[in-house]
Amino acid sequence: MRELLRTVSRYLTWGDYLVIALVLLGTAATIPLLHQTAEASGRWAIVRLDGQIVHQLSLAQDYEVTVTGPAGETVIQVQNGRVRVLRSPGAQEICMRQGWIHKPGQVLICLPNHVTIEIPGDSGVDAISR
Amino acid sequence: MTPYTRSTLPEAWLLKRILFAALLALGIVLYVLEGFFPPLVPVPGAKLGLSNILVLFTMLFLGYGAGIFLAIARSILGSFIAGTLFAPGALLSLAGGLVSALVVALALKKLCPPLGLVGVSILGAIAHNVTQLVVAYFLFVQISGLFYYLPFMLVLGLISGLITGLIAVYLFERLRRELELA
Repeated sequence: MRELLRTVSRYLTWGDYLVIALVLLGTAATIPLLHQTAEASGRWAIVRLDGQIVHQLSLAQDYEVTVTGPAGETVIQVQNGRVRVLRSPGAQEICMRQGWIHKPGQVLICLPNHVTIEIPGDSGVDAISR
Repeated sequence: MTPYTRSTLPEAWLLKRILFAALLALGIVLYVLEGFFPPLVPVPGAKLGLSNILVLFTMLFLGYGAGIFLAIARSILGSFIAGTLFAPGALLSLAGGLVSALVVALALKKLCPPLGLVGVSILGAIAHNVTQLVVAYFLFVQISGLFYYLPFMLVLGLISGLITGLIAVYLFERLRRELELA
Protein backbone atom coordinates (compact mmCIF):
# COMPACT_ATOMS: atom_id res chain seq x y z
CA MET A 1 0.00 0.00 0.00
CA ARG A 2 2.77 2.44 0.93
CA GLU A 3 4.61 1.36 -2.19
CA LEU A 4 1.51 2.14 -4.25
CA LEU A 5 1.07 5.55 -2.64
CA ARG A 6 4.68 6.45 -3.33
CA THR A 7 4.30 5.45 -6.98
CA VAL A 8 1.14 7.53 -7.28
CA SER A 9 2.72 10.59 -5.70
CA ARG A 10 5.66 10.27 -8.07
CA TYR A 11 3.26 10.30 -11.01
CA LEU A 12 1.31 13.35 -9.85
CA THR A 13 2.70 16.86 -10.28
CA TRP A 14 1.64 19.82 -8.15
CA GLY A 15 -0.52 20.96 -11.06
CA ASP A 16 -2.42 17.68 -10.87
CA TYR A 17 -3.10 18.18 -7.16
CA LEU A 18 -4.30 21.70 -7.96
CA VAL A 19 -6.74 20.33 -10.55
CA ILE A 20 -8.03 17.73 -8.09
CA ALA A 21 -8.51 20.39 -5.40
CA LEU A 22 -10.31 22.71 -7.83
CA VAL A 23 -12.66 19.95 -8.99
CA LEU A 24 -13.51 19.04 -5.40
CA LEU A 25 -14.19 22.72 -4.69
CA GLY A 26 -16.35 22.93 -7.80
CA THR A 27 -18.32 19.89 -6.69
CA ALA A 28 -18.85 21.37 -3.24
CA ALA A 29 -20.02 24.61 -4.88
CA THR A 30 -22.57 22.85 -7.11
CA ILE A 31 -24.10 20.69 -4.37
CA PRO A 32 -26.49 23.50 -3.22
CA LEU A 33 -27.76 23.56 -6.82
CA LEU A 34 -28.94 20.02 -6.28
CA HIS A 35 -31.20 21.07 -3.40
CA GLN A 36 -32.43 24.14 -5.24
CA THR A 37 -33.68 22.30 -8.31
CA ALA A 38 -35.30 19.60 -6.19
CA GLU A 39 -37.11 22.16 -4.04
CA ALA A 40 -38.12 24.53 -6.83
CA SER A 41 -39.88 21.80 -8.78
CA GLY A 42 -41.61 20.20 -5.79
CA ARG A 43 -43.05 23.26 -4.11
CA TRP A 44 -46.47 23.42 -5.75
CA ALA A 45 -49.45 21.24 -6.41
CA ILE A 46 -52.01 22.01 -9.12
CA VAL A 47 -55.65 21.09 -8.52
CA ARG A 48 -57.86 20.73 -11.57
CA LEU A 49 -61.62 20.28 -11.90
CA ASP A 50 -62.66 19.02 -15.34
CA GLY A 51 -59.18 19.92 -16.58
CA GLN A 52 -59.44 23.56 -15.46
CA ILE A 53 -57.00 24.75 -12.80
CA VAL A 54 -58.97 25.67 -9.69
CA HIS A 55 -56.18 25.88 -7.12
CA GLN A 56 -52.39 26.23 -7.01
CA LEU A 57 -51.43 24.89 -3.64
CA SER A 58 -48.22 25.93 -1.98
CA LEU A 59 -46.71 23.01 -0.10
CA ALA A 60 -44.91 25.30 2.33
CA GLN A 61 -47.80 25.51 4.85
CA ASP A 62 -50.23 23.02 6.35
CA TYR A 63 -53.92 23.47 5.46
CA GLU A 64 -56.97 21.89 3.85
CA VAL A 65 -58.80 22.86 0.65
CA THR A 66 -62.27 21.77 -0.46
CA VAL A 67 -63.19 21.43 -4.14
CA THR A 68 -66.83 20.95 -5.15
CA GLY A 69 -67.28 18.78 -8.21
CA PRO A 70 -70.22 16.99 -9.88
CA ALA A 71 -70.28 14.20 -7.26
CA GLY A 72 -69.74 16.26 -4.13
CA GLU A 73 -66.89 17.68 -2.06
CA THR A 74 -63.27 16.60 -2.32
CA VAL A 75 -61.16 17.61 0.68
CA ILE A 76 -57.44 17.98 -0.04
CA GLN A 77 -54.92 18.15 2.78
CA VAL A 78 -51.44 19.67 2.64
CA GLN A 79 -49.03 18.78 5.41
CA ASN A 80 -45.22 18.76 5.75
CA GLY A 81 -44.75 19.50 2.04
CA ARG A 82 -46.98 16.59 0.96
CA VAL A 83 -50.52 16.39 -0.44
CA ARG A 84 -53.26 13.80 -0.04
CA VAL A 85 -57.00 13.49 -0.53
CA LEU A 86 -58.70 13.37 2.84
CA ARG A 87 -62.27 12.77 1.67
CA SER A 88 -63.83 12.40 -1.73
CA PRO A 89 -67.10 10.92 -3.00
CA GLY A 90 -66.84 7.64 -4.86
CA ALA A 91 -67.37 3.97 -4.14
CA GLN A 92 -63.76 2.76 -4.48
CA GLU A 93 -61.94 5.61 -2.69
CA ILE A 94 -58.96 5.17 -4.97
CA CYS A 95 -57.56 8.67 -4.56
CA MET A 96 -57.68 8.43 -0.77
CA ARG A 97 -55.87 5.10 -0.83
CA GLN A 98 -53.10 6.56 -2.99
CA GLY A 99 -51.89 8.36 0.11
CA TRP A 100 -49.41 11.21 0.17
CA ILE A 101 -47.60 12.58 -2.87
CA HIS A 102 -44.69 15.03 -2.89
CA LYS A 103 -42.45 14.35 -5.92
CA PRO A 104 -42.66 16.19 -9.24
CA GLY A 105 -44.63 14.15 -11.75
CA GLN A 106 -46.86 12.44 -9.16
CA VAL A 107 -50.65 12.72 -9.53
CA LEU A 108 -53.79 11.98 -7.51
CA ILE A 109 -56.97 11.35 -9.47
CA CYS A 110 -60.50 11.38 -8.06
CA LEU A 111 -62.38 10.19 -11.11
CA PRO A 112 -65.99 10.33 -9.84
CA ASN A 113 -65.57 13.97 -8.88
CA HIS A 114 -63.50 14.98 -11.96
CA VAL A 115 -60.67 16.24 -9.71
CA THR A 116 -56.95 15.77 -10.36
CA ILE A 117 -54.04 16.93 -8.24
CA GLU A 118 -50.59 16.98 -9.75
CA ILE A 119 -47.15 18.14 -8.72
CA PRO A 120 -45.67 19.88 -11.75
CA GLY A 121 -42.22 19.12 -13.03
CA ASP A 122 -40.40 16.31 -14.69
CA SER A 123 -40.04 13.08 -12.77
CA GLY A 124 -36.55 12.44 -14.07
CA VAL A 125 -34.49 11.66 -17.10
CA ASP A 126 -36.00 9.75 -19.95
CA ALA A 127 -33.09 9.35 -22.34
CA ILE A 128 -30.33 6.94 -21.49
CA SER A 129 -26.89 7.83 -22.78
CA ARG A 130 -23.88 5.65 -23.14
CA MET B 1 5.08 17.55 -22.75
CA THR B 2 5.68 17.64 -26.47
CA PRO B 3 4.63 15.04 -29.03
CA TYR B 4 7.12 12.23 -29.11
CA THR B 5 8.58 11.89 -32.58
CA ARG B 6 11.62 10.00 -33.79
CA SER B 7 12.56 11.26 -37.19
CA THR B 8 15.41 8.76 -37.23
CA LEU B 9 12.97 5.85 -37.59
CA PRO B 10 13.11 4.20 -41.00
CA GLU B 11 9.94 4.56 -42.98
CA ALA B 12 8.65 7.00 -40.37
CA TRP B 13 5.69 7.90 -42.54
CA LEU B 14 4.49 4.28 -42.79
CA LEU B 15 5.17 3.54 -39.13
CA LYS B 16 3.12 6.53 -38.07
CA ARG B 17 0.14 5.27 -40.02
CA ILE B 18 0.49 1.73 -38.75
CA LEU B 19 0.73 3.05 -35.20
CA PHE B 20 -2.34 5.22 -35.72
CA ALA B 21 -4.34 2.28 -37.08
CA ALA B 22 -3.31 0.10 -34.14
CA LEU B 23 -4.20 2.82 -31.61
CA LEU B 24 -7.57 3.41 -33.29
CA ALA B 25 -8.34 -0.32 -33.28
CA LEU B 26 -7.45 -0.53 -29.59
CA GLY B 27 -9.55 2.54 -28.87
CA ILE B 28 -12.58 1.04 -30.59
CA VAL B 29 -12.16 -2.27 -28.76
CA LEU B 30 -11.93 -0.53 -25.38
CA TYR B 31 -14.92 1.66 -26.24
CA VAL B 32 -17.09 -1.31 -27.22
CA LEU B 33 -15.94 -3.57 -24.37
CA GLU B 34 -16.65 -0.85 -21.84
CA GLY B 35 -20.21 -0.58 -23.11
CA PHE B 36 -20.74 -4.25 -22.23
CA PHE B 37 -20.24 -3.68 -18.54
CA PRO B 38 -23.28 -2.86 -16.45
CA PRO B 39 -23.00 0.68 -15.06
CA LEU B 40 -21.06 0.76 -11.81
CA VAL B 41 -22.96 3.79 -10.55
CA PRO B 42 -26.63 4.54 -11.31
CA VAL B 43 -25.95 7.73 -13.27
CA PRO B 44 -26.68 7.72 -17.01
CA GLY B 45 -23.54 8.06 -19.08
CA ALA B 46 -21.14 7.15 -16.27
CA LYS B 47 -18.22 5.35 -17.85
CA LEU B 48 -14.57 4.96 -17.06
CA GLY B 49 -13.50 6.20 -20.48
CA LEU B 50 -10.59 3.81 -20.95
CA SER B 51 -10.41 4.60 -24.65
CA ASN B 52 -9.43 8.17 -23.72
CA ILE B 53 -6.02 6.77 -22.77
CA LEU B 54 -5.58 6.02 -26.46
CA VAL B 55 -6.51 9.60 -27.38
CA LEU B 56 -3.88 10.88 -24.95
CA PHE B 57 -1.32 8.47 -26.36
CA THR B 58 -2.04 9.40 -29.95
CA MET B 59 -1.57 13.06 -29.11
CA LEU B 60 1.77 12.41 -27.42
CA PHE B 61 3.18 10.18 -30.13
CA LEU B 62 1.50 11.34 -33.33
CA GLY B 63 0.37 14.91 -32.69
CA TYR B 64 -2.79 16.72 -31.61
CA GLY B 65 -4.65 16.50 -34.91
CA ALA B 66 -4.26 12.72 -35.01
CA GLY B 67 -5.58 12.50 -31.43
CA ILE B 68 -8.67 14.56 -32.21
CA PHE B 69 -9.28 12.52 -35.36
CA LEU B 70 -8.93 9.32 -33.32
CA ALA B 71 -11.50 10.56 -30.81
CA ILE B 72 -14.06 11.23 -33.58
CA ALA B 73 -13.39 7.96 -35.43
CA ARG B 74 -13.47 6.00 -32.16
CA SER B 75 -16.92 7.37 -31.27
CA ILE B 76 -18.45 6.80 -34.70
CA LEU B 77 -16.95 3.37 -35.39
CA GLY B 78 -17.36 2.26 -31.78
CA SER B 79 -21.06 3.05 -31.65
CA PHE B 80 -21.45 1.52 -35.11
CA ILE B 81 -20.03 -1.77 -33.83
CA ALA B 82 -21.97 -1.57 -30.56
CA GLY B 83 -25.16 -1.03 -32.57
CA THR B 84 -26.00 2.34 -31.05
CA LEU B 85 -24.97 4.54 -33.96
CA PHE B 86 -28.33 6.21 -34.46
CA ALA B 87 -29.41 6.08 -30.83
CA PRO B 88 -29.48 9.47 -29.08
CA GLY B 89 -26.61 8.35 -26.88
CA ALA B 90 -24.22 8.11 -29.82
CA LEU B 91 -24.52 11.83 -30.51
CA LEU B 92 -23.82 12.60 -26.86
CA SER B 93 -20.82 10.30 -26.96
CA LEU B 94 -19.50 11.92 -30.15
CA ALA B 95 -19.92 15.47 -28.83
CA GLY B 96 -18.40 14.53 -25.49
CA GLY B 97 -15.47 12.76 -27.12
CA LEU B 98 -14.76 15.65 -29.49
CA VAL B 99 -14.86 18.40 -26.86
CA SER B 100 -12.88 16.24 -24.46
CA ALA B 101 -10.18 15.69 -27.12
CA LEU B 102 -10.02 19.44 -27.82
CA VAL B 103 -9.65 20.20 -24.12
CA VAL B 104 -6.95 17.54 -23.73
CA ALA B 105 -5.05 18.93 -26.74
CA LEU B 106 -5.27 22.47 -25.37
CA ALA B 107 -4.20 21.36 -21.88
CA LEU B 108 -1.24 19.37 -23.26
CA LYS B 109 -0.14 22.35 -25.35
CA LYS B 110 -0.64 25.22 -22.91
CA LEU B 111 -0.75 23.81 -19.40
CA CYS B 112 1.58 20.91 -19.44
CA PRO B 113 4.64 22.01 -17.54
CA PRO B 114 2.63 22.55 -14.32
CA LEU B 115 0.16 19.77 -15.14
CA GLY B 116 0.93 16.08 -15.53
CA LEU B 117 -0.93 13.53 -17.60
CA VAL B 118 -3.26 12.87 -14.66
CA GLY B 119 -4.40 16.49 -14.46
CA VAL B 120 -4.89 16.62 -18.24
CA SER B 121 -6.85 13.39 -18.06
CA ILE B 122 -9.14 14.73 -15.33
CA LEU B 123 -9.82 17.91 -17.33
CA GLY B 124 -10.65 15.75 -20.36
CA ALA B 125 -13.01 13.48 -18.42
CA ILE B 126 -14.86 16.44 -16.90
CA ALA B 127 -15.13 18.14 -20.30
CA HIS B 128 -16.60 14.88 -21.62
CA ASN B 129 -19.23 14.66 -18.89
CA VAL B 130 -20.23 18.32 -18.89
CA THR B 131 -20.51 18.38 -22.70
CA GLN B 132 -22.84 15.38 -22.60
CA LEU B 133 -25.01 17.16 -20.05
CA VAL B 134 -25.16 20.39 -22.08
CA VAL B 135 -25.89 18.58 -25.36
CA ALA B 136 -28.56 16.47 -23.67
CA TYR B 137 -30.12 19.66 -22.33
CA PHE B 138 -30.31 21.37 -25.72
CA LEU B 139 -31.26 18.33 -27.80
CA PHE B 140 -33.52 16.20 -25.64
CA VAL B 141 -34.86 17.46 -22.35
CA GLN B 142 -35.04 21.16 -21.62
CA ILE B 143 -35.43 20.88 -17.90
CA SER B 144 -33.08 22.56 -15.49
CA GLY B 145 -33.38 19.45 -13.32
CA LEU B 146 -30.83 17.88 -15.64
CA PHE B 147 -28.15 19.99 -13.97
CA TYR B 148 -28.99 18.13 -10.84
CA TYR B 149 -26.39 15.75 -12.26
CA LEU B 150 -23.60 18.35 -12.35
CA PRO B 151 -22.02 17.50 -8.96
CA PHE B 152 -22.16 13.78 -9.81
CA MET B 153 -20.62 14.43 -13.21
CA LEU B 154 -17.77 16.40 -11.64
CA VAL B 155 -16.97 13.72 -9.07
CA LEU B 156 -17.25 10.90 -11.62
CA GLY B 157 -15.04 12.87 -14.01
CA LEU B 158 -12.48 13.28 -11.25
CA ILE B 159 -12.46 9.55 -10.46
CA SER B 160 -12.39 8.30 -14.03
CA GLY B 161 -9.83 10.95 -15.05
CA LEU B 162 -7.62 9.96 -12.13
CA ILE B 163 -7.75 6.27 -13.03
CA THR B 164 -7.22 6.68 -16.77
CA GLY B 165 -4.55 9.34 -16.14
CA LEU B 166 -2.56 7.05 -13.83
CA ILE B 167 -2.75 4.22 -16.36
CA ALA B 168 -1.60 6.62 -19.09
CA VAL B 169 1.35 7.89 -17.03
CA TYR B 170 2.42 4.37 -16.16
CA LEU B 171 2.23 3.21 -19.78
CA PHE B 172 3.93 6.34 -21.07
CA GLU B 173 6.86 6.05 -18.65
CA ARG B 174 7.23 2.36 -19.39
CA LEU B 175 7.14 2.86 -23.13
CA ARG B 176 9.57 5.77 -23.01
CA ARG B 177 12.03 3.70 -21.02
CA GLU B 178 11.80 0.86 -23.53
CA LEU B 179 12.14 3.17 -26.52
CA GLU B 180 15.24 4.75 -25.06
CA LEU B 181 16.77 1.36 -24.30
CA ALA B 182 16.15 0.14 -27.81
